[in-house]
Amino acid sequence: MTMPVPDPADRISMAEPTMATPTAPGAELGGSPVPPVPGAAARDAAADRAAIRAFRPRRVVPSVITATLMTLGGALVAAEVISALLGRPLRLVPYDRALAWASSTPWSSPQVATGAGLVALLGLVLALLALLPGRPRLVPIRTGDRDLVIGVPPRGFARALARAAEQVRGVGHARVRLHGRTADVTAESLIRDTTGMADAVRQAVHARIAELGPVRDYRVRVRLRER
Amino acid sequence: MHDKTARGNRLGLLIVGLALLIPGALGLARSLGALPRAWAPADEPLVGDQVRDAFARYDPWPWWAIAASAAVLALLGLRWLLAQARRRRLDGIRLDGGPAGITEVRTGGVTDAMAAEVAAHPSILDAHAAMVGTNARPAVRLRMVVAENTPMSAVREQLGGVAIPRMRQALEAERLPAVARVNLEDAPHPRRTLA
Repeated sequence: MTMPVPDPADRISMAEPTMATPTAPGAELGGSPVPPVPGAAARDAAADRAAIRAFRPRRVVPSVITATLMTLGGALVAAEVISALLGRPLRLVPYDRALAWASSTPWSSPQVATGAGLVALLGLVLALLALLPGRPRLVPIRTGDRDLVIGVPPRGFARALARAAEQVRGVGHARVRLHGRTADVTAESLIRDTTGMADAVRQAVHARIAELGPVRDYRVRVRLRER
Repeated sequence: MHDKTARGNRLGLLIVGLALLIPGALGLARSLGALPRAWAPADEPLVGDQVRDAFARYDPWPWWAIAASAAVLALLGLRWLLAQARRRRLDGIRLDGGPAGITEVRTGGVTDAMAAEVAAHPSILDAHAAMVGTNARPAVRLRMVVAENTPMSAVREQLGGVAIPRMRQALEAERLPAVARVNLEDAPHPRRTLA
């Protein structure tokens, strides 16, 4: 549901070789996978922050649920109490039974413990929903201009990277999943000799990432599968 | 703008969360006998004599207090709920200056022109634009579809270099922040097209 909180000193340059653990034979680190992209946007910290902030989740669903329950619960209690005070109780809730139960049940009963525990847990969940930053809805793209924010839906972004992997010689179908800031590439090799293939795939994917220019770079992890 | 709603949602969830978490945790502690016996014994009923006495002594004020708090809670909930539906769309914008006084410009024409301008780029397949924000601080929201192999620099150029400056000029706005959602079109499989 949520991403780890990004560390402030996050400076993975675009041309840096990947630090992913190669899981395929023939994959080795080193070399400079990506030449600098012409026309890449200038880095501007304020613009980057604006882009990341623009696509933070707005927590609409939990807010709507909580606000609705608050409204209904508050209205119900107010209506019950006021109607009773005015001498014409509505009695939508069987509160006589509730009062009888509460008068005869000690705090130490397991029912009370469970109920209180559930309330505390619910409160904890809501507080965490409020405090954790959440996964951005779109992948923010670097523009170098704080008045221009561009975002790409993560699915399309992953698909574009997969297409780039498929351009590598000997690679058949490829699939990319984004996990936090890692792009997991699963590529199908059509040929026996996969020497250097993982590296080539990684370079191709890195190049495509650089072309798309996200605010935060992605690590690329390549897994080759034989058909 | 909607930034405000996002911040409000966060704050609201935090407050409600704490309002449940703290009493819930205290209730659990009392139930498990973890609180000092002197003021929160675990073997008393939930509604004991003390509670009854208090309600009886001040009757009917505790009930009015409960009713008032519940009503306030309901109103806050309603306000929170309505904030989610806040419309941010700006349909008209007023330009002042000139001997004629104030001119009101419908944003529909301006945004349509902008969208057309954006879509003029060969790699940009489709574009829609809408104005949001307020008269004093207008902003643009864009949705566009681009061919999958389009370099982002082309999109950036078309927006930041061409379309937005022109629109800013048309609206006489000093700043015109834009948020664009760029969908990459799922191009047909390259191998099949290249063959």
